Amino acid sequence: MLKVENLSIYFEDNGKIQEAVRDISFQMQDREILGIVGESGSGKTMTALTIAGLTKEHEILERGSILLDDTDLLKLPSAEMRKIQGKDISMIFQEPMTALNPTMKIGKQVEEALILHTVLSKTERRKTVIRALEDAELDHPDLLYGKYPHELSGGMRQRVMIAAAIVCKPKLLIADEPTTALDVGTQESILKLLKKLNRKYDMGILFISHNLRAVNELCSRVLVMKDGVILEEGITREIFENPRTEYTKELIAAIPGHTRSTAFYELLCAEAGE
Amino acid sequence: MKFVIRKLSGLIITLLIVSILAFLAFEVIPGDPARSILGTEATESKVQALREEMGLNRPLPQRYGRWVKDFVGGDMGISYSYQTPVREMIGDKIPITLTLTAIAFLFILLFSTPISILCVRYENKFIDKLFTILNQITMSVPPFFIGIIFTVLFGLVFRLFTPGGYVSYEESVSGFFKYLILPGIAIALPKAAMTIKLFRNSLLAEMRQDYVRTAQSRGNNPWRVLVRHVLRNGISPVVTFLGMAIADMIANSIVIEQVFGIPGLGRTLISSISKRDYPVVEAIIVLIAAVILVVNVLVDLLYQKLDRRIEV
Repeated sequence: MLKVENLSIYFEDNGKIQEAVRDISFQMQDREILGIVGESGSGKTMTALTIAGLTKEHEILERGSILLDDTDLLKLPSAEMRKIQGKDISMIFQEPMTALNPTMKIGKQVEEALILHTVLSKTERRKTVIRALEDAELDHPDLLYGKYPHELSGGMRQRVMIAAAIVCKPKLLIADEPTTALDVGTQESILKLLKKLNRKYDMGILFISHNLRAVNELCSRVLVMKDGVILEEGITREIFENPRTEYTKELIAAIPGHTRSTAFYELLCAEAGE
Repeated sequence: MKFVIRKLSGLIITLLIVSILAFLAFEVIPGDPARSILGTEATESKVQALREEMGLNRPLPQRYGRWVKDFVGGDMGISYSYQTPVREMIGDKIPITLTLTAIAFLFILLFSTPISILCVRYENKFIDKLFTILNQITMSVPPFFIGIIFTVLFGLVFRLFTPGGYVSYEESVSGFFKYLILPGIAIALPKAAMTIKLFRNSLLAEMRQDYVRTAQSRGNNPWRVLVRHVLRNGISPVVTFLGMAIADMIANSIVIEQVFGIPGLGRTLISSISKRDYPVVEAIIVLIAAVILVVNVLVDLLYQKLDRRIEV
């Protein structure tokens, strides 16, 4: 479904050209959940934003290709890219507190992609919005429709973001650190929700995180990025059990084992030489 | 309901304070209404007799109390210089001044909203820079001067209107509004320039917020992002500014009326002050203060309507 080939991303900083991502290639199959892990500055968020077409009109240069099915997203003019954004590719972000428009009703924000990409009538749109809110496991969707973001908790807001992202049933959902700003219990339920939606709508998920525990729970395959390059790539379980690079070993060692004391994590930590 | 009571009591207290201050001001400034009616030739005893008759020799609190009582009952007193009820004198002039202010207000919104959006959409491009320069110039020119330029340019050179050819609304409503367009623009321009500066910066700050990226990720084009998402979030400082500017705009209306020969409150106010015609001045001050206070309550309400996080 998604094929990234020789992607390099540059941006200008104080007149100097900086390289954010260097010559990375990877693929995603239909319905696959792929994880990208790495510390901040590894280029993972830049990769996500570039795939989602959110670096256009900024002072950012890309080289290589990003093929969604057979369309090269990097070669699309902005107007054509906008027809894909929100319809075939959706994105959710790290900060649910600020990612929603504070002065727009929840229902209107979820509805927006439908207005932009479908010809549904007003009543059909409302029904679809209510269904999306239900899909995101939000209670009383009809009540929620007329509420404003500040009336909701962080976890609920992230669910609203998810509802707005899946309302057009995209092929690919890009989730950039969607659980980082949430408390542990909420993190868990958001991960479960993403997995459920992945199965229900055959929706591929590109899951960006520095949280290896979350990646392990959700992703079948994982890429490890550092300083703009892919260090290793493979089945999540295999990489966890047998990391090939020092960097990955360190990342695994940094998992806070005490937050979830399953035998598996204790084993992981032991293996990582803690 | 609690809100209404709170705002209403605030309004009454403020009006009382304003009227007391106006009363005190007339005590302090030199000049005697009785003398100005009778003329400089009149003898001191005649002046004293008239003062006694007008009740000017009574103590201040007593005079103020009586004025308040009459005013609340709808009686604004009798003009010293014209011997006609103040109500009749200013009743048909207040709507003219307020209409002029309202037209100016509309022009501010009409100019500043599209231009601000345009400047933000093309930030640091030619059009943005052009408007920044134009703004700087417009901001520093007072309305009465713009009024004079308009009169010369549109009245004498292009002959688009007759300077001084005011049309009353009883004569022709469309003619009345047509005549008020140029003075309205003259009042609006400097304020519109300030509004644009404020609005542009507020919108640019909003453009850096996370929800803008979310809106883009749904496939909104840049214009739709600005109009549907950013505009409402960035308008709050503008609402505050315009709420504060309303008093200034009424004051400007009074000045501009002189330039364009509009029979609003302006001329009445100025001549009444010079003639020490206190009942007229007092009534105008209190009424203008009331209008400003009501507008401020409306601004508060609008504020909350725009952003539900704000408690009024």
